[in-house]
Amino acid sequence: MYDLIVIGGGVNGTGIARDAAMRGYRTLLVEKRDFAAGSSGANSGMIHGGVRYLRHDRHVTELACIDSGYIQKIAPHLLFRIPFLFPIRAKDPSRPTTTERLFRYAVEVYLGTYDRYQPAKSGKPSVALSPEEAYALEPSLARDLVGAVSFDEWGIDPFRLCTANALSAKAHGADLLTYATVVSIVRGDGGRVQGIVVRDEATGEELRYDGRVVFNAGGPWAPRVAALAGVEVKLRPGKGVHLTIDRRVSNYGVICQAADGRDVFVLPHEQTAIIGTTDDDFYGDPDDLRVKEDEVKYLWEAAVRSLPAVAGARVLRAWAGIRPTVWEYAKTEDALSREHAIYDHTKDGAPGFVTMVGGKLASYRIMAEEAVDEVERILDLPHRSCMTHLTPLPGGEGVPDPAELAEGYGLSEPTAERLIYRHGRKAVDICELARREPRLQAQVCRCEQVIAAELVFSIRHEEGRRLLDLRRRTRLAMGPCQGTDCAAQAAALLAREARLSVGDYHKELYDLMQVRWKGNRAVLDGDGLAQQELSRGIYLGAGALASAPFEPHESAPAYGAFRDEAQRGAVKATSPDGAESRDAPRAGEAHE
Amino acid sequence: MIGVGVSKPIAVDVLVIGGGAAGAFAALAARERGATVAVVRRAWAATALSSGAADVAPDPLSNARTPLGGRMSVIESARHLASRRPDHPYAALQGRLALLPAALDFASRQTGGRLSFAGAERENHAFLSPMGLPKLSAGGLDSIVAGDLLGVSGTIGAVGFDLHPIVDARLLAAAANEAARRAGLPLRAVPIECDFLRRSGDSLLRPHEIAARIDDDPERLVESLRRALPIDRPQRLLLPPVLSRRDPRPVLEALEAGLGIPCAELLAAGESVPGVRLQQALEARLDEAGIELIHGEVYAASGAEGDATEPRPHTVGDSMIGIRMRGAAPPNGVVASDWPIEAGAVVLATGKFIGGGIRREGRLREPIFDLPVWIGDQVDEGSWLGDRTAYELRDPQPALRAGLRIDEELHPLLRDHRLLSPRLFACGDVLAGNDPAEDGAGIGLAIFTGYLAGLEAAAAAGLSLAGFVTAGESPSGERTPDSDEAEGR
Repeated sequence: MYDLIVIGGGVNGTGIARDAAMRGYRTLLVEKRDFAAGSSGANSGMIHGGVRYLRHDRHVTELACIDSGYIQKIAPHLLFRIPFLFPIRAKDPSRPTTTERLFRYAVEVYLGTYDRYQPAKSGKPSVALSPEEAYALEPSLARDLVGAVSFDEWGIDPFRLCTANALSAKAHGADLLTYATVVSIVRGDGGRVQGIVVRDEATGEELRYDGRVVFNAGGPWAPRVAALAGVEVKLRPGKGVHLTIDRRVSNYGVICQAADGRDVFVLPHEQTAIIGTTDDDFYGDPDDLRVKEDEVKYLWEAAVRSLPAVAGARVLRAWAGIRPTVWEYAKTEDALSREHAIYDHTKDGAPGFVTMVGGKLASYRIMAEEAVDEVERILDLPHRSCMTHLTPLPGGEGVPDPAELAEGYGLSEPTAERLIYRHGRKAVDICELARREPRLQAQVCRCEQVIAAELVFSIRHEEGRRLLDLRRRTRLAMGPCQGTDCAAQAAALLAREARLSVGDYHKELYDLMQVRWKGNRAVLDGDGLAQQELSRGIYLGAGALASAPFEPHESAPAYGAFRDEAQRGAVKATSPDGAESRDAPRAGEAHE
Repeated sequence: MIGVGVSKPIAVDVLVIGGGAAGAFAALAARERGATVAVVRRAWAATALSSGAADVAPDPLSNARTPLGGRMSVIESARHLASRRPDHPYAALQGRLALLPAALDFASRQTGGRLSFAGAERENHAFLSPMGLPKLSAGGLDSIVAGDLLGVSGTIGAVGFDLHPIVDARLLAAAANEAARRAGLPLRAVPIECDFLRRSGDSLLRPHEIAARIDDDPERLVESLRRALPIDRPQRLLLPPVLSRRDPRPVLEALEAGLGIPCAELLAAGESVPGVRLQQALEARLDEAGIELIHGEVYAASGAEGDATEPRPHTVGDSMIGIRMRGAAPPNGVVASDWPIEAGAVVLATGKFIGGGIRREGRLREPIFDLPVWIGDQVDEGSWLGDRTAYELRDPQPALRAGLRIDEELHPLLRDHRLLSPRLFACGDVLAGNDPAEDGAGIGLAIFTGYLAGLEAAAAAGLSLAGFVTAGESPSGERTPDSDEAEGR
């Protein structure tokens, strides 16, 4: 019997699982794909203070800034400073109109207000710059400025943030189940929610887990999860599209104005830059997100207008996510509150069932804290203190020095630096692994400096089970070559490590290339077409991968979801028809 | 890298633009007919990245369950492709597919056997792909063709290096066994992991660096393999495609002499050592044949010496003029320059997206002559390619088949199906209707269309076509009047 079952492996679900496990509650986290496979992995990757929300939700800004400060303390390796420029332009910069001058003044005041919250997140105060100063800082800016204002934000790898939270939960005793879809919610007397039945996506096996509270952290899927309990949860989902380009075009994050006057930005991120984002009401299926021509053009136009250098870059991919925004009517998308909401469904006739929606990546921790407080209230338990803002996430304690690590293990310094960025202190464990197994010293991904040992470490210790999971854990196949150079070797490593069948090896490889293609095809242009010709030539031409006998399906994993720890938590197994209980098979049985 | 910067105006019978497989065989075919030929190319392109196989056409019955398909002959397979895919270049050239055997022979002969084909009347070879899947192909570099799975029975050794990830021998052997089982081949594969790459940092070596190591000391590889061989010795060894940077034959001989086992190379993926070898072999052959290989970029000028009143490329008498080239600095750094070109005929062999023969700049373009680029039976007007592709990676992707449409004499067509010039020809990947990865017509298509384009160009330049004309058809470009302007553009 679990105290808490959390559904959803995004930043909310993993954050709640960590918080609950650290307070000593017996916790199970269930995710139908992988950590951060949905919205939590499809955002700008910013632990920002929410400057955009200052207009509508000053409270959200304040919370976000305070919590951003905590996240820096618990995951110092995972954050990077992003200085931003807000350029202020004029039709004729030599003679700005009154409106243009007023706008400049308004931006200075606005960002000046934001400065009040900056100390909470160790942010630097804003500075009003002359055009010459702005050009000196960021030579790629279009030459039509009457000034610019700097402000300060933090970036993060959201995939690693979620993984780190999940792993921390596990270290504190929680059980994790990925590639396990909740198919029903078990009800008892008075409609009380007693547990869930999940389906192992690899085997089709169904298992029941009992819990005192079932927490729905399904993000865009929250309404569907709630429906399993017969409860209606309403969202105002917003689709956000980003583009990734093949290089860092600017030193600063640059705010750009889109055709409709909305602010979008160009953001240096790892070895690439991100252009984002759109915000449009979304009525479709969150499992089938496709990017449209107008979304790409909208972002591209805005970016090129402010940073002409973007026009010389290659768009690698377009990607989309869904904001699980709290339902409100008669408001524009941008004006929607980024506040979160926690619903105790007792009043809906489903006691023991709780849903959280809304909120921002940046304030996930405080939201998780509130969520667990709510669980304690519902169960009428004495309050235990939240420690998630004080205890470092895995790897966050004593981050090593890149130069020393490089020297000590014979790595190049950039490789050591990337390794430490992603893993913090755990980078040392990865280097030790490479020392013990020299085969794992090979650099698999040259775009993002991923060595074989890092992939194997993710498989052994980070619940990395599919090639697509390794992509999320390590940025494999996320750089300029989009997997062309690294996918085959990475799949071979996974196959050996996880003892995959030949068919599953081909499927893993194909599915990674399919996911890459999904993002590439929306932005086929210029050199991107050459990249496709090469990539297809290797995998479908020389590799004959399309002739492999498998049914491609993105969400089906190559091997069983149920691990030993979680096995113990399964109190009762039911066959799909619900007739008889039976023992579940052991994980990876087919491979042993 | 062979080639010179241009230092004078070019006047030749046949100008070939593009130095990959299509351009090289076009040049060699025209040269064999007695034409003076120059090849202008900007850089190495897709041929140097190719796997070492030379695909002509896939077996139409090949699928996951029956990987060897109907074991149809190569030419039958090509005819099949032509009949089921009216947009494919083979469909436009349907009446000339009888020349496919001659084209493949020509390629073999010209490369001194480096490119080897079973013959167009024989079935495809079955190679082991780098991902361990059966890959059907008409031929390829001889070191690779030696690994044809149809030609062995018994045990094959899948060779890898124990500390280098270029080939995971265990995975490859497992995959080969699976492939053999599905194909019903009497084969068993065993993994062989040798210790050739054991020095500190060796796991970081790229394929060309491994090839250099082997060139330096092939005997050390022989020794390493001897130690790694199982007692039950395999009948053939399949090695990673890194046996030599230039010519693997001496290494293969050393291996076979030292181990007593026939050896072959696997197909390459990505950074392809065999691809570079093929490119270099073609260039060496061009040089031998007296064909000038020039580094440069060809462009259509606005008439002579910048006279903007003249329309672009046009035919005057026996020559095509109005094209110029900028010399690009080759690796040895010859000064860039700009010269007019006069040619009796021009062959476009500029490749697709990698080669730069087709580029998207707002719309899909052919950058030299601004010929219309077709997707299916439509000229692209700047459509969003997201709409011209399928969601599923392995489904046909019309946008990636974009290119030039040709008539049966390989003249690229204008929008109204007229010709820009009867002296202009196109071949290879620049042609529409073929996605080499998905359609299974790669270097083989380049050879076939390059060969035909070379013959046509030589004919258009006024040289003899004795012994070439088949079925009473006229291969020369006289069926349309010389068009001084590009109508309808």
